[in-house]
Amino acid sequence: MRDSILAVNGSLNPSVYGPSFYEKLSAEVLAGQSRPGQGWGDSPEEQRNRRSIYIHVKRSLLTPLLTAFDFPDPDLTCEARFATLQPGQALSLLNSDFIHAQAAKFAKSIDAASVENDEVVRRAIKAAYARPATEAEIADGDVLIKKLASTDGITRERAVSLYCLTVMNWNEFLFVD
Amino acid sequence: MTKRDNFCGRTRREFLWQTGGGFGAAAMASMLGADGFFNSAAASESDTPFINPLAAKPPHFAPKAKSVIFLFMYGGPSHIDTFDYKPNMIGMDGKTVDVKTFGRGGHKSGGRIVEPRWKFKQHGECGKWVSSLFPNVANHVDDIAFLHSMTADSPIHGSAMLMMNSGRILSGNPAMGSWLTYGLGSVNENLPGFVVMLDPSGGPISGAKNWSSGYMPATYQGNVFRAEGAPILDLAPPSDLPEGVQRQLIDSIQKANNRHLITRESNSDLSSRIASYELAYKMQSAAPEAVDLSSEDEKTIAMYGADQDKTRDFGKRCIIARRLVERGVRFIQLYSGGAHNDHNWDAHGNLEDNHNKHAGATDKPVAALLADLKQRGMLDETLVVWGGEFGRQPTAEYAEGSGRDHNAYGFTMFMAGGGIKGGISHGTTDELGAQAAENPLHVKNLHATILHQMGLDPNHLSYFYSGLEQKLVGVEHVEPIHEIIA
Repeated sequence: MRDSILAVNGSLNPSVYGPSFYEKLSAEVLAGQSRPGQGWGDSPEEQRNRRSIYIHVKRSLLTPLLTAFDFPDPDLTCEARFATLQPGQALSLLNSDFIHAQAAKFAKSIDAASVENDEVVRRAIKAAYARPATEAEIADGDVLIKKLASTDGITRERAVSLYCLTVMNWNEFLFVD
Repeated sequence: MTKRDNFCGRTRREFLWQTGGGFGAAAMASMLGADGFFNSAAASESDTPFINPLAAKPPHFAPKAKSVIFLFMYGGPSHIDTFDYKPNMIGMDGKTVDVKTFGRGGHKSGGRIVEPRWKFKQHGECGKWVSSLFPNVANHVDDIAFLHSMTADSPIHGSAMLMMNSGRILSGNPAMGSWLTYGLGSVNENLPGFVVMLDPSGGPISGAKNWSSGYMPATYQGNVFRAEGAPILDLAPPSDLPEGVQRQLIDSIQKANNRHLITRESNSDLSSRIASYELAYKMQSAAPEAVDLSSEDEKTIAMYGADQDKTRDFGKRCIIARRLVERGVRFIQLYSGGAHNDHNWDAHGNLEDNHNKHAGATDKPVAALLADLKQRGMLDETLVVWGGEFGRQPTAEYAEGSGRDHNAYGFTMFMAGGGIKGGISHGTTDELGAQAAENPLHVKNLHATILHQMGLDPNHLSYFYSGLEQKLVGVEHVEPIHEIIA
């Protein structure tokens, strides 16, 4: 899931081997530790763009995005990965700092700011799904971007980034036929 | 996505176990099934088509309690300075005694007595002796069952915390709240079934391991609620987004999902995921409402001490706990104390300062919680549990001072409400409170009692992992504490 998000917006760093990296964790996550922040370091962004298997695993401080998507308990052998569907996953894919940052990169990677809405939709869907966008998707995308961009406090740049966020939330993104 | 696509939908161990023990087990299961066993134990995650995994499930039998509030006094409060009255120790301060102790300082065979530092008085119709650390809780002794003969397997914080929370001293096992939500689901689908609220100083040692769902799916893990701001991680959209935008985004996502679904109706996971987004949206209003105290009247705020610096934080969290119970949350755990040393009840240095601080911050809120639950008619169905991961030793840890080391050989916890008898004390420790004497109890007995009051048979609530029907209380039969059950 996380790897796919990084891949579609072009920021995935495919390098292999080497030490793990520290994902960015919010203060509220670190607050659960008896010594908040201890044992968790900082990593440069290009390291953070590596695949999720390189995320540093601290047994008492698991990365929430991974946990929401059934990261196995690192204290035990895992005989089969769970694949649950629960609202916490939706919350992290709608609201986390991570997804909003990645959505902005996604919009930038398709140069969404400088093209019309229909072209934003075509490019986003091509990047995310490697297929042409349908007429219905172009129409819906256009409506959403227009509506968002006309809302107080939302620039068009933000509106297209939010559109990109929705595309990464589709079932089609998670389920491969 | 809920189906396991391997080993014919089973784990390898399940496959071997089922082919080997299949016929006998099938007969056994149908015999037991007819008795109503396994009702929720058999609700394996692997085969059920998704509804909400937290949808309410029937208990094994009629429950006495619907919710549990676990007031966790992290660090280990001293039992002989609070509720376990030791009159024979009066006047013995500084005397050297032979007594077996085991704490962070290792095994010792004797030491200098630290006489209980607070005066005890009798309270209530039951005449319970309570120290001056808890003048307010003392008013409720007739509703409380004290367990004076508690024992645990470890006198070291990390492992003892895991034991109190998950029944084992090793990490990786589901917390009690996970077991309850696994067994019973949540009455309120818009809120998590298992909520943890931490001390402002930080989490307990090992952090999230204490509310992990271990080998169970993350659906059952504890959710950390904050008393300020958005209560759950990622619950709220970024603050710069105007209201209503989130709904527009979800509507757009759902439109695409519904189009995608048309040619894939047979895949129930797709509609499940659609539903999970709607649930997430409902949580966004339900959770902030649950922690919003603006609808509480001044009298209630004052009763809990949420208007005074000393008791504000724990008082607020106790009010939120009551509100979560009202909204159907199964298991709520509040931590008194966090981080290290004197930020919690771990009184190795100055016993007086430490316990005055932590009892001072919690006595009024805990008493108010009991009184408030009672006046609202909720205490009968709400099980309140108070205690730490262990108690403290009768002797001093160092040559100087009143600090006490850890003691897992004997300590006190209490339970109130939820079908528990009031005004009684069960079990004793020896004359110094050094170890359990009459009716010794293990943490497992406490866990069994909690499950039992919630309508679950502790010896049958099981989860198949690693070739074994795992249980919170372990594989050996464990009795609830019948003597305190009304």
